[in-house]
Amino acid sequence: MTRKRRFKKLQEYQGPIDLNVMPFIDVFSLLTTFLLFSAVFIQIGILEVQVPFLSNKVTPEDKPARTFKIHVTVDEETIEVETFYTPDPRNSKTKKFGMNKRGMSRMHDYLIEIRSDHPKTDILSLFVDKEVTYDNVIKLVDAIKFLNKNDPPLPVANESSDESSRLSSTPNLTLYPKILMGNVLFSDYD
Amino acid sequence: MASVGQNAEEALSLNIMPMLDIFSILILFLLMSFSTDPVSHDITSGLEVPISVTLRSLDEIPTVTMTKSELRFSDMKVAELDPATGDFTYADYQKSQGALMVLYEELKKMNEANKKRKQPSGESEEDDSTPDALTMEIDKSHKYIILRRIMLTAQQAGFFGFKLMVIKENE
Repeated sequence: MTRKRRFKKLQEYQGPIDLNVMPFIDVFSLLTTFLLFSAVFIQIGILEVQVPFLSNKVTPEDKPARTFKIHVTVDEETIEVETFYTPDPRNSKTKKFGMNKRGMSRMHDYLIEIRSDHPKTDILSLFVDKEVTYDNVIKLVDAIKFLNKNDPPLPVANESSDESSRLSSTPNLTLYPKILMGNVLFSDYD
Repeated sequence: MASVGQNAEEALSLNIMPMLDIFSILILFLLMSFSTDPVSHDITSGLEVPISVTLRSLDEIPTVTMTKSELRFSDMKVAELDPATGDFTYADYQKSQGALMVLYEELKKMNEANKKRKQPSGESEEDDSTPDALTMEIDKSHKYIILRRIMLTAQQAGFFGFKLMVIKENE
């Protein structure tokens, strides 16, 4: 039968049209099985931190420019944020917050103020007491590192050229992308 | 009385539309939750990982795992916790200024192997300016002293960056 005849016969057909949905269901079933096997219901992520290290880089002989530094010291009850300049005069300012959800939120707001005033400083040193739980350390790092949805945008985007922080930070989503775990090398272990 | 056999000539038709609806919704849901993360890793059983708002996905399998009771390096047990103190046993770190000697040796070997792989043609070590990062999976109930000992050990072995494994908080 030629194609023309078959088409003509089809045009003349007056009965009910029956759609064969079986191949469609087969495809759906396979797709569902594949997706169910490969589904990941818990999204795993990473938080990046650094520890200090000694470098043998030759420092320039010029008089060093004054650097603005931020230290966050945490124990089981309090969070202390200290800002200062090196070298002296230090012009140190200290503010304390409670080591709880409200305290972390207030510390976060204070850090936004600091970052807005000193947009070029994108590194912060964190000193954690040995009794603080790892869960609280992560909550603290979250509050230091990331901006919330409701936070005002920072005036300047992160100017970091470091590969790891470039990857970890979408502009204006991070508050302090580089966190240095300051007291890792201290010798109060006994 | 009606029976199945009486209407044998009538064609039985199965209404498959509800099934198609369910399939469509299921596929939509699964496609939404489909993960395109580069690495797929199951959390070690009996270990609770903290929750974070981070957006970065896991990009390598954790090398160091700290369960509730023991420290593992690539599935090899390297140290045990003292249940009384919640810290490593004193013998693990007494002769190494707080660092864990067994873990240090393993990390040192790994770091040297990584460096050799990065410098196949005898380039100088100083050229490699990017510090190596270590991925760690740690139970959220531990105290910071545990994390600090592991970090100190890794720092001594040449790892200066750390990727702490967390569960991403749902938006």
